[in-house]
Amino acid sequence: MRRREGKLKYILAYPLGMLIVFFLIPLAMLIAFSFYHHPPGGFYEPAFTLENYIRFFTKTLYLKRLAFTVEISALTALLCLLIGYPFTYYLTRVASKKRFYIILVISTLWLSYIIRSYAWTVILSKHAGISKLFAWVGIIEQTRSYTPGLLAVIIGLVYVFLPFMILTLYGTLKGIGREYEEASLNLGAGPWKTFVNVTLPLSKDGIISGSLLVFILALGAYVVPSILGRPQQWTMAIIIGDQATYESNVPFGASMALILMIFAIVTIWMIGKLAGTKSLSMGAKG
Amino acid sequence: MGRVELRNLSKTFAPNIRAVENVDLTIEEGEFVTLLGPSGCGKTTTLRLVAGFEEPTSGQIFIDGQDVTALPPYRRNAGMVFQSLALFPHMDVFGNIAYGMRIRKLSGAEIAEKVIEFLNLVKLSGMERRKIQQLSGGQQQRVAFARALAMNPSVFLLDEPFAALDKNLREEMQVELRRLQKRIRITTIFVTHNQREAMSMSDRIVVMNQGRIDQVGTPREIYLYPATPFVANFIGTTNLIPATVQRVDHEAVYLMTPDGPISLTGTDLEVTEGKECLISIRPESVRLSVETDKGRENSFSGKVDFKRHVGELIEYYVHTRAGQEIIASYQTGRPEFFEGDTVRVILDGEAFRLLEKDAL
Repeated sequence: MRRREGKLKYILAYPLGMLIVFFLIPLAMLIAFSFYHHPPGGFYEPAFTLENYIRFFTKTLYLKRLAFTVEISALTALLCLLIGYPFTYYLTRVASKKRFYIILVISTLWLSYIIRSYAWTVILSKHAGISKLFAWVGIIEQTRSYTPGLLAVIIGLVYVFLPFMILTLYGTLKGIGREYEEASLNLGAGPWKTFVNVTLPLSKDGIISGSLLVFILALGAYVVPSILGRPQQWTMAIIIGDQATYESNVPFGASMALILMIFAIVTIWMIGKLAGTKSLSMGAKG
Repeated sequence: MGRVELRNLSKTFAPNIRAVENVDLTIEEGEFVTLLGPSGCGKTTTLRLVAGFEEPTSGQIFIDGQDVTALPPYRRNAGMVFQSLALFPHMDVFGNIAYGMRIRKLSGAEIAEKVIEFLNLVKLSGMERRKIQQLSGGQQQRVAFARALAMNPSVFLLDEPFAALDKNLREEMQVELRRLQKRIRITTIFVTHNQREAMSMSDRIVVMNQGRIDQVGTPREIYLYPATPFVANFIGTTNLIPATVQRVDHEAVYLMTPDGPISLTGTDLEVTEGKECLISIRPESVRLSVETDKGRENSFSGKVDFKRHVGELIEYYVHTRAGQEIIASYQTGRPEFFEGDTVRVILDGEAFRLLEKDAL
């Protein structure tokens, strides 16, 4: 018995060690840095000052960026849900080649999303993209470029994060037995009433998990808005990167990163509270 | 209210799996009919055709004289209890039972009154605010009954609802369901693979085999006069003895079996000389005797090979001289035989059934 426990200890030491080295230490450093002082023209020096936090909360510029990031993340989550739910519903209820469609969805994840973002700059461009198609069909009069711009950022974010929504919903919707819907039909409810009264409430957990997942991912999005957006569409991640690398202000970048992280955690916690804690198990069925 | 008629009903699943073939069946008002058969025999598909979850490949379904073949499930007014029960986990007991009535937009007071009435009927008064997960297996069954019956359906459909219950609870629920059904006199179609369940509950049993109906009859008819070797074997235990018809006259049919001649009076099977058929005889119609009188009619000699106690019965597996195995069952309490005893196997000539020899 005792020898087995001893061995188990070594096996568990591995993930624990990884967690400490690659997660807890960097996080501790991030917290420490966020209180450091940034001398003008210099890099950083150890201190304990709240000036970075004060700067963030007193400058409307940064607060506006945070608000924008939250808005665009929420919009991305909503759009992913509106596109992903009907698709996944069809996939789990009707489609015969389920595996094929799921592989199709996952395959978009095989490409780096930097490449996928650049692909969208071509698709949305003035001369090679869909605007030519639109002009040819007659929807718009002259070809125009949609990138960089807000629309391009939203399209990019939705495209990149949609698979996460679909995969989360897939587990939930597949877990809802057909007989619940059949029972509802049997009790006199038509297909639409059955959907509203049975399928939708039973997939609540998947909807919340998927939306939260996409929301959190979009909060940290860096690549898509920097490739497809103008500075007006820069999200918090870009501002943080900008501060840390180009402005050499690591302490301010660290404090903004922490603020974003705390915001994300509080959001998850609040939604979890509102919806019942079990929703927080990502993708698991209720 | 509640006459169900299936006319020449067939269902073929792509590419060519014939789940149900040419089923003709009429279920009278207030009747309790069980579809019985092994898994894959088409009984559940037949039930789902009546409920409207499957579309028949051909044939028609009538409920109360109305052709419902083309109607979707939500216009059929058939209350169904699913094998998994499928109670809505996001609603409480009240919400489940009220569901159908809310869909029909009955008034709140009317719904509340009905829910209480049906909770009383299934002996769950006062439980309307319980969550489904808080109920025991038997209570969940009752909620499922109440939910299906609360919408006042023309026909009550049950798909192996007791399959997941342990033996005692299952028997309790069988009695309860049958009492409930008799009280409200609702036409009921019950699906099961459990022949004891079918025997104990039904007005009539429909034995299905490979998508077809083998026999329709009261439990007694099915047990005493099985129409095919399949039915004889599926319902209870039976001995099947191969036999060739030797002679037929006004009084009896004379047959030759591997163990000697046998005669029986009257049969509904058409017999001609030289025809090969099967004799079916239930273990309780087989007697064992220590006398070795070889001249005795309809008897073989054999040796007790194996013996076992089955509840209140003792079963003897007797090896005959020609190598057949014949099972005889006796009430316990009578003088017992022992393994290795040489015995005379006496077949009750009244209890024979002559069956067509076809593929089992």
